Amino acid sequence: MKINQKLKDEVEHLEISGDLDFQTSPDLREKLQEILNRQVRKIIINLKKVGYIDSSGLATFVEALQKMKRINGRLILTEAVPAVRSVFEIAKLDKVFTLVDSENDALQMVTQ
Amino acid sequence: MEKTFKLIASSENLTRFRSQLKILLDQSGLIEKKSGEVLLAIQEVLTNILKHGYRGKPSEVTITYTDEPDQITITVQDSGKKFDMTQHADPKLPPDKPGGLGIYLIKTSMDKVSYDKNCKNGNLLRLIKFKKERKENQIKDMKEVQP
Repeated sequence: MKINQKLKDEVEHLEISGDLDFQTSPDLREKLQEILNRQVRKIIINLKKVGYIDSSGLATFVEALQKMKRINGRLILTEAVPAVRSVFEIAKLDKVFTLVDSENDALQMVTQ
Repeated sequence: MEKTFKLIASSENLTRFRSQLKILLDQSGLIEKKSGEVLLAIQEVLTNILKHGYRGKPSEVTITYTDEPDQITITVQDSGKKFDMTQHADPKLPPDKPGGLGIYLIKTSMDKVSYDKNCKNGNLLRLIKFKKERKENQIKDMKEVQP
């Protein structure tokens, strides 16, 4: 798994490539914690290059979302492929997370 | 077609096994969505064995993959701590805390999950995915007929 990262106009953009599983989720968790430590309140995570996610990946996102809520921040997930989106749906997490179809939609939401 | 894998349950091997299983599922005729569900379920089973059954210590797991005309059957046998995941209560959904979704994902991703209570050492889990859609009551009937 790789994570590309850029900060633009106070919005942290992450693009994840690869599988998000038991083995790789700790790296994402560490990256998100590092961003939260910088008091960033707006995060957009692009999932278009993630082909697989398991419960460890979901747990990492749930933890990050809870932390963002505590500081009134926004965490938005974009472009999840059907296989990944369906795992969110099975766990009913599509009702908890903001999952949008494009980075532009996400950007509009965080800058509102 | 039947294939047996013996692997040491370590996080690196789980990723490698997932790739091998994906090749078999691609050859099975399962649609992509179902194939993804099987991969997810098996990964969750193996992760549970590694995390809880063997408590992070890499140990052997035997996996049997059987491709039949109407279903894929996968058995997973380990020698870790006994745990019947089929009796595990479903979590609150959506979850309000990280974690605790693995077993739920296994149960919902597969059409049938059964635990062999007679397995003397460790655990034997049998997971089935039907190749064609079945109505819920057909699956329920099968669950009642089979031990």
